[in-house]
Amino acid sequence: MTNESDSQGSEAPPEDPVTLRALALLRKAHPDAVVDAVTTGRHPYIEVTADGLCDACLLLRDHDELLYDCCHLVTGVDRPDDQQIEVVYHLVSYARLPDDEYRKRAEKNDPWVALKVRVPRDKPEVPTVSNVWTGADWHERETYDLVGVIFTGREELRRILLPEDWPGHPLRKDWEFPVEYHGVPIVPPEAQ
Amino acid sequence: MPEPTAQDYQLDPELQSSVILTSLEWVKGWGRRNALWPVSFGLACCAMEMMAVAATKYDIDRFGAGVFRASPRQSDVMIVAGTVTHKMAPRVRRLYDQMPDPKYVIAMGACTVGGGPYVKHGYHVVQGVDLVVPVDIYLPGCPPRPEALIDAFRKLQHRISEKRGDTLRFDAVEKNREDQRRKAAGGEAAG
Amino acid sequence: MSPRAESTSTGEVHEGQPLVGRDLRTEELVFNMGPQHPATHGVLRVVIKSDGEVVRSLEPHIGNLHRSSEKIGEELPYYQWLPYVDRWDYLAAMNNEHVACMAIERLGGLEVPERAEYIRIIVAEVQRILSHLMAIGVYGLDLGAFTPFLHQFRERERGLDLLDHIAGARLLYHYVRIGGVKRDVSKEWIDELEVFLDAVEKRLPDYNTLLLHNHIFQERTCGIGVIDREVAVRWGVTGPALRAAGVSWDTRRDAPYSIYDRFEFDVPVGPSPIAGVAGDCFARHWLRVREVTESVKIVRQALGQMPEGPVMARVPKSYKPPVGEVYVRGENPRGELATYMVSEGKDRAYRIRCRGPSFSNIAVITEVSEGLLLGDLVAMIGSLDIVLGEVDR
Ligand code: SF4
Repeated sequence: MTNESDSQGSEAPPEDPVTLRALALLRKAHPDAVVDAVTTGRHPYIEVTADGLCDACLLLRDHDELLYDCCHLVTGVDRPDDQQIEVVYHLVSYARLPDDEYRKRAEKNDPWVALKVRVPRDKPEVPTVSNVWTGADWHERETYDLVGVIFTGREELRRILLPEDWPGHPLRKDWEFPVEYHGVPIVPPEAQ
Repeated sequence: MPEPTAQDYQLDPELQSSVILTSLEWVKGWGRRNALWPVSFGLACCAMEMMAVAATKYDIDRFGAGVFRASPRQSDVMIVAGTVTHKMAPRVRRLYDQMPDPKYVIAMGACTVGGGPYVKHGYHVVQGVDLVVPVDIYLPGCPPRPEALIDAFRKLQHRISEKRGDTLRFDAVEKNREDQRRKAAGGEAAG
Repeated sequence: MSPRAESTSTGEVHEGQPLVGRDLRTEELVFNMGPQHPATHGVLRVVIKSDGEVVRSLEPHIGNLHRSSEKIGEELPYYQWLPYVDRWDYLAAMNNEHVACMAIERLGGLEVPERAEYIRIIVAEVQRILSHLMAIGVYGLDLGAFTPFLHQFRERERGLDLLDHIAGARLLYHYVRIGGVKRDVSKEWIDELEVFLDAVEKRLPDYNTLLLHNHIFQERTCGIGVIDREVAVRWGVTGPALRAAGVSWDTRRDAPYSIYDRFEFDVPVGPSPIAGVAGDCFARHWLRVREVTESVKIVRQALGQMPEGPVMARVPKSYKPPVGEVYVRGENPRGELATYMVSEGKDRAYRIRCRGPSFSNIAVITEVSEGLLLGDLVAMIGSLDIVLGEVDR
């Protein structure tokens, strides 16, 4: 890898070392969990199955060579064209600081790894990782609140930003503006 | 209307220098005007400018409005500084209801005036705080500069001393309720 | 023994500690703090279950300032969406713009001119100084000291004037644009900036006399609200709160973005040598004071190295980055701001997600506030220095 990125005008784009390392260890430990992986470019990621997510996360957190001890972000992306919802996890490690060489080798400059889970849009259920990283708790609640992903196996999943009785999940692509909420009128964008 | 003075009553010249005649309303307005106690109610970015007004450089105390109270029960003007969301709206209303009369509201910032930058796609933003509480002074800007807030205070004081505070304001809450009542009545009549 | 007694700076148990913390249990009381409360820094609402003066458990309720900026990002073109970025963390608008612009630029592979990079760093660090000054002053206010607030506002106003000169606004600038910055800075402005930096350096000891070396202040903060290393990392706490807990991580140094790798600066790490333990309120406050000095250093170096040249790259009128995603993070005054952006090749993003540092920083109080006294809870929330605009976005 190092040679590739060092040579100017390289044919193959540089691979991301941290993603490669995580991928190799994941494939070894849980070969069924890994669906797909992109290891080059600005946003390399590893796609895992919903069932294998918890095992993968535990490995990423506990393996001596990985030690991803912090879940930075949990997001959902609604893709109505594919009838799917992507749930994206970004993990960082404070236990292992990156070596100086890292920046020269990877295009994204930043030692995080991303996991992706794709679930069907009509049944968006993903097992929770809030028991792996406590910080993921609020992120999951927000993802449920705005995108409507249902995280299973955790203590009650409540809305966090919007009021409890808010209609729908606003970041779904087909969400419709309400015309009023508790007596306060809302002028939807189409009407403005 | 100019306030009546001692001369208007053709008093004894002796008495003119020692008696002040005025209306009770005017005295009350004068007292109120120069001792406005705002409730420190920061919602968002605009609250930072509200703090700046209370701090060293702008010092709203010069205009008699510097006693920021933490409790609505002790204050008579509410500066709604920041975005009012649908989750927050009932609380804004409750705070307003808790304030003793007479009470005044300054809608500070574009967000409170009419939804501001969030008016179009911001699903969770109330499109103007006047849908929740009646407003006396509208202060546009995003955020308004501290000078503008001081100006809003001066305008409010002017208003209070002219005793127009209660009569002129546009009560969109009432109007909205009225509309709904009318709609409901119309619906029933039609049904 | 109550946790408070355990952790006072001197380690001894004071007379008059509440009995309830030890063995006597009394009736629990549930009450509400906020959303209109001067110590919650905005519209945070906390439901507290307390036993006398001792907090048994608590639950923060957020969302009172949810302004749907992520949805707006899907509806508006990138350049129109940028002003909304300012409003996430309204005390650090320049830093927000910097990170958001980096994300948008990285999506399309745009290169930013050298001089623009330097100006971005300068304004971002000036903003960090201003934000930390505010945090220092307001923390004093939370603990009942009004004077530091008035003092810091003197310097803060100077700094705001500086940014006002180049951006035309005091608080929310929209100065960093896609491909560069809006306007070049003049020689006079740089002179003014140097005067400002000197003033900040000169005044910092004054603030420290008022707060950091103040015995009452130390009594209120040392050993209070300890977030230790393990808890901080597990909850995703970042920024000064993480470093105060003893983790030496600063995105500017360890995953350098923009041109931060060209500057020399220290990353202070808790515990403070003056008093207290790692991860307590005092360490967080001390760390902010130290970071102001470091930011002054960075600005000075940047001013020394800044080349001449254009400040804006050539950006097409309708900027349509190719299909792809990026995840960009940067060090804001309050912690790591990160943006995840998905492009579908249109002039607007397909999905934008912002990770506000305050969002994770405030979540941690559910765990660490157990056993605090109510008065210390205010000290705790204040020392985290949250901005609700960023928690709720
Ligand atoms: S008007 Fe502008 S500055 Fe004021 S709260 Fe709204 S967005 Fe923030």
